[in-house]
Amino acid sequence: MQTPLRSSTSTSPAADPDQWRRFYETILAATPDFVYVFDLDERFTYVNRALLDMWGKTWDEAIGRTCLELGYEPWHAAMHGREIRTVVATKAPIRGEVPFTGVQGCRIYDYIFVPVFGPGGEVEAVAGTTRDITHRKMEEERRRESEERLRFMAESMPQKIFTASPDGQIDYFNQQWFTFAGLPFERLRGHGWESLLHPGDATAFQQDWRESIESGRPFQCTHRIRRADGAYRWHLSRANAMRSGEGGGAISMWIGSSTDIHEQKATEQALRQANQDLEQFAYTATHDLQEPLRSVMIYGELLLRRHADKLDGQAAQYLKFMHNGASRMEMLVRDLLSYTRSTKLDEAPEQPEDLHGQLQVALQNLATSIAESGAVITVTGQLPAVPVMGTHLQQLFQNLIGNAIKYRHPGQQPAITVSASRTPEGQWCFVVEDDGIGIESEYKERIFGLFKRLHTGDKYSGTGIGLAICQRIVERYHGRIWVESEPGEGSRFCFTLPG
Amino acid sequence: MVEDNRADVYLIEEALTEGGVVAQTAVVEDGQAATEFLERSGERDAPPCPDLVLLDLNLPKKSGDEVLAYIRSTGKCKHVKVIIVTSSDASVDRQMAQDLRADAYFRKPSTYSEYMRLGSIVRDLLGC
Repeated sequence: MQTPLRSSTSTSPAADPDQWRRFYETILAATPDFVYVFDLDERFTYVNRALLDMWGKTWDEAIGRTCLELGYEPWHAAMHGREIRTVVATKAPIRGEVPFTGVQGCRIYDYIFVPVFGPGGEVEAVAGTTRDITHRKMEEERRRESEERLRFMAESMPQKIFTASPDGQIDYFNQQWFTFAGLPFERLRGHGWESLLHPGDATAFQQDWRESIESGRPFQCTHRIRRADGAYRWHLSRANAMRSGEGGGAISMWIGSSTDIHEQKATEQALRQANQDLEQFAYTATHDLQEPLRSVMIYGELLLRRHADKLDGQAAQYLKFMHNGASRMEMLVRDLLSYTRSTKLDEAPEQPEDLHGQLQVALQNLATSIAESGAVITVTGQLPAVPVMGTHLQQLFQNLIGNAIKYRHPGQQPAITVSASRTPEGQWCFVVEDDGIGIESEYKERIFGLFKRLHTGDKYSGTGIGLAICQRIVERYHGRIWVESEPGEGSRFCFTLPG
Repeated sequence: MVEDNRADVYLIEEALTEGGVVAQTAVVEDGQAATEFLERSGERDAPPCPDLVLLDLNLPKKSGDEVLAYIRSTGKCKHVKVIIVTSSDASVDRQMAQDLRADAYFRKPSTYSEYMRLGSIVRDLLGC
């Protein structure tokens, strides 16, 4: 056997042809690939161990036989025959893939036939190697199927779906895009689709997209895109980076969707406008309603001050009722205004607000009634910061602590505690607890209603708006407010706010 | 005094008296009349520029903020002192008053004694 391997040192075993032979034989016997040689009559003159095992034959059964004689199907044997003749004629290798059923069942093989040249340069034999690529083929097939499934899913969705290469070039749009935009793939691919963006949104969109591409963070943007008829419609676009491997390797592609939210947006805008109008109306109404009330009150006061001597007891009493009526009306109007303000939609929650600060403001506003009642207010533990507007927090505390002071046992100094704890859902639950007169269970829902009161104004003053404001504020942040109480045993007002 | 409500005119005059402010007052009842009054000031048979304008916001014809803007931009009496006297407590109104350099903002209260505080505010502002 020839030794095409070159040795570089004199101590190399190449000096001993027998040793080389042992090397080759070991390698050929151990490789999982099939190695074999055909003579020019297309008969096997050499086959390695792996091939014999796959056939389930011995050396003697195989050597000197053709493919056909070894049980290959006629088309298969004929194909190899043609290939061997081609290699001999062209003196060039030939490569192919073929399925074959051997001992291990049907497998797919990748093979190469190469010419073996004699000393005179003529082809004296054809050598071959064959590798089992069933596994790779199956992987490829699986990937193709899963891609097909994904594509089918993407095409079946009402949303506009796209995928992009890791550098952000869009390489796939589903049919919804073409239908919406009225443009073919060629016009949309790469950055072509960007021409659909509304000029007012394009810069922000492209900047956000670029940032996501660079950072790998999820992309999200609300923007308008042009429909085939030229009309722009609002869309919510999102995209996520798909990473190769389980543990977040390199980004292999971006998968995104654009959802038409035009109707939703229009409704939202109309709602915001309606709210603004209502706010404006409420403000004007309360302002204009307060004007005449002030006159009634002040001039009533002046009558009593300056002309008391001309009024008999009954007239003075009537005037007092008038004055009380007017001040109550003024209070109602003022509270109604803060009720409408408590749910203004366009004020988005800001950064987490420091609760202690807002609680202090509320306590300052309540300073008079705290001093009068001798109330002791204790904060147990730390109060968290929550993403809720400061004025809202202040209103919540002021109303609840104000109530706790107001509805105390006559002649008793109220003790009030404020505390906060985490709920299992990750919200914050706040509690304002008092030792006051308590609430009968049948009224526990009713007290949160607008203008709902349990007591007459003579006994406990109020407009019945405070708790309604609290409820609106809490519900604005998707929280809940409720009361736990027994008559005479104090009340626990609890409310939840986002964490 | 730019005030369309006679009940307030009376109270403002009471407050000035209470505050010991000795002044000649002129009352106009809408915003248009206010700008015309100031425009004519100093002419023959017309009073001079006032030392102080007590300006309501919610007025017929021209609103108080329009009058104030007029005073501070083109009016003859550009540097006259101005107190906004209004029942509005809206932050937009307070901001407007500040932006247009009003000298004080007095929210009309609902008790007599609080109303009378306007007198001392005027006295302090005029320094008399």
